[in-house]
Amino acid sequence: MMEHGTPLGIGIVGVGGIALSHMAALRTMTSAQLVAVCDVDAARAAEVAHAERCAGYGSVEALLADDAVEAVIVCTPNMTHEALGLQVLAAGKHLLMEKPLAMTPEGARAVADEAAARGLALAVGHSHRFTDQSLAIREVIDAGEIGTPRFVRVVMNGGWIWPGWQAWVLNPELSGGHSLHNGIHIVDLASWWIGEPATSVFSVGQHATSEALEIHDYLVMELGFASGASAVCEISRGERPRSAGYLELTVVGTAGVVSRTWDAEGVLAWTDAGLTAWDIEGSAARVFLRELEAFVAAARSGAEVIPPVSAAIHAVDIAAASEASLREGRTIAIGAPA
Amino acid sequence: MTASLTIQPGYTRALAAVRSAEIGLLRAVALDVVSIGAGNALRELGTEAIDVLRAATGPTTVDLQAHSTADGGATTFLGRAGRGVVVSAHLSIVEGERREHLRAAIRLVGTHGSVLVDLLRPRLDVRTAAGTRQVPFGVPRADAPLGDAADTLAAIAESARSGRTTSITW
Repeated sequence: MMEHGTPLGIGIVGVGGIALSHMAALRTMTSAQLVAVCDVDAARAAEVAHAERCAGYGSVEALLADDAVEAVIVCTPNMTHEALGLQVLAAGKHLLMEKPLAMTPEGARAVADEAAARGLALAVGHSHRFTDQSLAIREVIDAGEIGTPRFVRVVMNGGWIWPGWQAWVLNPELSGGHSLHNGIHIVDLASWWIGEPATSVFSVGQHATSEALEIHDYLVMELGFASGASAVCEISRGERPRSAGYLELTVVGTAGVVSRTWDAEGVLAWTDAGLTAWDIEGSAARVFLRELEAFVAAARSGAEVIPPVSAAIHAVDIAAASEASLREGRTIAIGAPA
Repeated sequence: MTASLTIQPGYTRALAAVRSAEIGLLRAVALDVVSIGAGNALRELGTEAIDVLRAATGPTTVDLQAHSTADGGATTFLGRAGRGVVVSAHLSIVEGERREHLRAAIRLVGTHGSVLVDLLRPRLDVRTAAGTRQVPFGVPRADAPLGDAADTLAAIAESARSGRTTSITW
């Protein structure tokens, strides 16, 4: 991946939690290099820049003016995505946007149109497509072992509620709601595995941690597909005990079932936190490395981004419709994909 | 009509946990049943599935949306039962000669904990050079009479056909 001789110069906007995962992956890559970071907290940007041995800026404008920055990863809160995406693309930089692409279907299409008009790579951080288990399930489906997929159940439940009432994620005006913030990961998986866009969504949610929550920290989304296939996508941040973590991925086809069970990694631990299933060392790091390698390939050689932009837009369509379903208590039809 | 999933020993224990609030108050129930066989999944598996779900929630009204494949081989529904309990179920039939379940699992989520029950256990995993097989153990399964769920199943089928949510009572 070194056709250009030099690594792709990457800038990161926003150096919060998810940016750290991208930085860790970049440290292991030869095809890309972190050259600059920026944050509204200029001191934090300077601190990270010092540790990462790159330039640090207190504004997006300053980062985009840096000629060493060829591509940008946007790691800021959801409500900033559309405007920042358009700004990055207008500056002529390739863009890897953390999910969601935007908070509205219209916003997602606006960013995608800008990238297409400028001939720039646009990828969206649907990182769950790059996990070991997600790729393995897709391989089983592609091999035809379970026949035609007609049901997906994805469960990603945990008790790690976001820290404090001031957290932007708890504000639906800023995050778009749980469907858009985390739910978008699993509806994308479901649509990918079923192999077609969803045509409807019906969602049921709860305020599990506190009645005062404005988002649904426990959320179940049922997707319908034109073929008659369906999916149930469940995500929670409100489990008790808080240490509870439960992951299940199941695809049922016309000829069989493939399932990634809670204890699939084979590591069960009894600790003060109770019985928990542990991840395998390094599995999380591989996710971001694969995601970034795909993005670099798209930026350098025009390879198709993963997931395709149309799928990232569709994921916003589903998630936005899910929030509408929660508000209105009915099934919401989803229009044709972009 | 008889079936055995509702009285599977692990599920009986899990239901006791719900009734004694070991996992707090019930918040959600998720059931998957996939069987080898032939025919319409809702017709073949639906009555027993409703029996299993009713055992967890008790008699209740559920506002749900269902989906079915055109051949009836798979049906899924998601609904909101009384007191906001979230109920989801998937039923499907994989065509084949052997009449057995490929998967039957239920998860009960409470305000203070969760229980996951593999309704096909208890069984031993026997692994040899010739392959892997499962050997049931414990008290032989008994069959129990099932309640009538005809109206409920008809309403689920209608929701799948119309694409609209419906209200049922089980």
